[in-house]
Amino acid sequence: MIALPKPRVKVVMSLFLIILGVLPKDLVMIGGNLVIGTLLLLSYRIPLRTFVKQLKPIAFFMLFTFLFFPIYEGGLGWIKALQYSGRLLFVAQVLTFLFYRMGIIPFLQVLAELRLPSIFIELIVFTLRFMDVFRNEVRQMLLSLRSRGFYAGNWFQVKKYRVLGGLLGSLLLRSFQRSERIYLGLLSKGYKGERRSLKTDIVPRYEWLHCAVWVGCVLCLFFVGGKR
Amino acid sequence: MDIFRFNSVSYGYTKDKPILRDISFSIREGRKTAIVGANGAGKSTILFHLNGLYAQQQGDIFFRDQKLDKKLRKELYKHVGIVFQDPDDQLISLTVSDDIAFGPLQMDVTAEETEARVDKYIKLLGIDHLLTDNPSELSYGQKKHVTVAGVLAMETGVCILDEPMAFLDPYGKERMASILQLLQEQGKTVIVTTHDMQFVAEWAEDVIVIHQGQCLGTFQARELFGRHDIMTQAHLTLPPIVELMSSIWKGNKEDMPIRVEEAKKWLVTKI
Repeated sequence: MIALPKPRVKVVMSLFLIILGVLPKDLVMIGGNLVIGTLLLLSYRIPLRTFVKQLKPIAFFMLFTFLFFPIYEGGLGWIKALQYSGRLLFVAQVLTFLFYRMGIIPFLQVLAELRLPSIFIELIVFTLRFMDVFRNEVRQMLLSLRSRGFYAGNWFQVKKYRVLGGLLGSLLLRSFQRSERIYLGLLSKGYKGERRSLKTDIVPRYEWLHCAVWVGCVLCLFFVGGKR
Repeated sequence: MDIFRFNSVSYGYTKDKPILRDISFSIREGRKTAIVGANGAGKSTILFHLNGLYAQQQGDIFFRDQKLDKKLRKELYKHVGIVFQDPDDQLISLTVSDDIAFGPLQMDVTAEETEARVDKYIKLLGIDHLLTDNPSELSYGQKKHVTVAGVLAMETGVCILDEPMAFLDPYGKERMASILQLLQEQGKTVIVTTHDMQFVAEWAEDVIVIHQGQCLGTFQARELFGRHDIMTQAHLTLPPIVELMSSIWKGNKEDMPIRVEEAKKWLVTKI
């Protein structure tokens, strides 16, 4: 078993793999990438269930390609569906590798270290934070409604839709007000539009071997496939 | 020396509904100051002015005798830390450690020093086991402690706490009181807003009474409890100990015990 590389190596490596993985159109090359992707998961002993979990959100899109392309493009539609699904599957393999034992925080940290413009990182952080705020507001408002006897059990009553419509309006308003206060909270601590990072992970040079080997494999396949 | 001076300050969220009306008062450096008043009196709005988050629409605010202009207001966070009433408004990061480190890093404190401060204050507040947790998944009391740790880590000379005791359990209140005590011992100026008049009696050296956006005066706690006119006007009630002692105290009003320990001592001598 090979030890997982450091987050920075993982991010750079995954980025290259994804770029190279979505370029080919040849089904043999896509198949080759999928073999490399499977080897990647096996080499780092990433559990199958982690990959399956990653598959859940994309399964719908894959199903859609098999339904849409054959109807839209006729006989060649199956090939296009296989192309798109194969690429998607490879990306899912790489993302499984990327986020295995790595949370969103180290990921953002690496993006900052790689000098990604802070506006993008801030957007991700605030979107995640806002989702938390939004979820909490929904939970509290639903609890408040239930405490006064409202249950959304039967969805086929106009009266309930009226209440839920009002709820949606006040939810947006409350979330907006909350985000205004959070902005004040940021300003109170001297926020000037850039988040500073606490730790910078030092990556030994040999760690980049992981990147060289796997990206090299996909790159070789890409050039060999191109000549073929 | 006055650390803050409000000179005829007015502020309103809308033009027709002013929150602060021509308000003037001072806050002394190194003192424990409580700002009291009914809901909607303008206490939190005052605190936001003290941190430079709001800019007054009329009048002047002085910080250490320097008039607060746009430039100084922007730099005020380096001198004045504020803990909001609702911790959810102030938790901005995805982990507790990141949230506590946010302020010092914005102040250009080095990463090593910031890490040392995070370590120091999470231990002080007893939240070291939450270091990697997502702040939004914590209980109210834990969130409050995280926001307090975040402001303490900034190590500012002035610490402002908006309703620090609100919604805390007795243990949380005790811990918060000890933190306030510690801040005082470190020579910091501590300003709190509160409705808890017993806390005012126990803790505050100066009490600023706010009513409908105006200042009714600055008092010492004992002096304020004797001013029934002010208490009634500001919709304040006497703390239980003062209420009890007022009905049995026969001596000079200025010597009447207002704190739990003082009252206990006096009652023991009498029984």
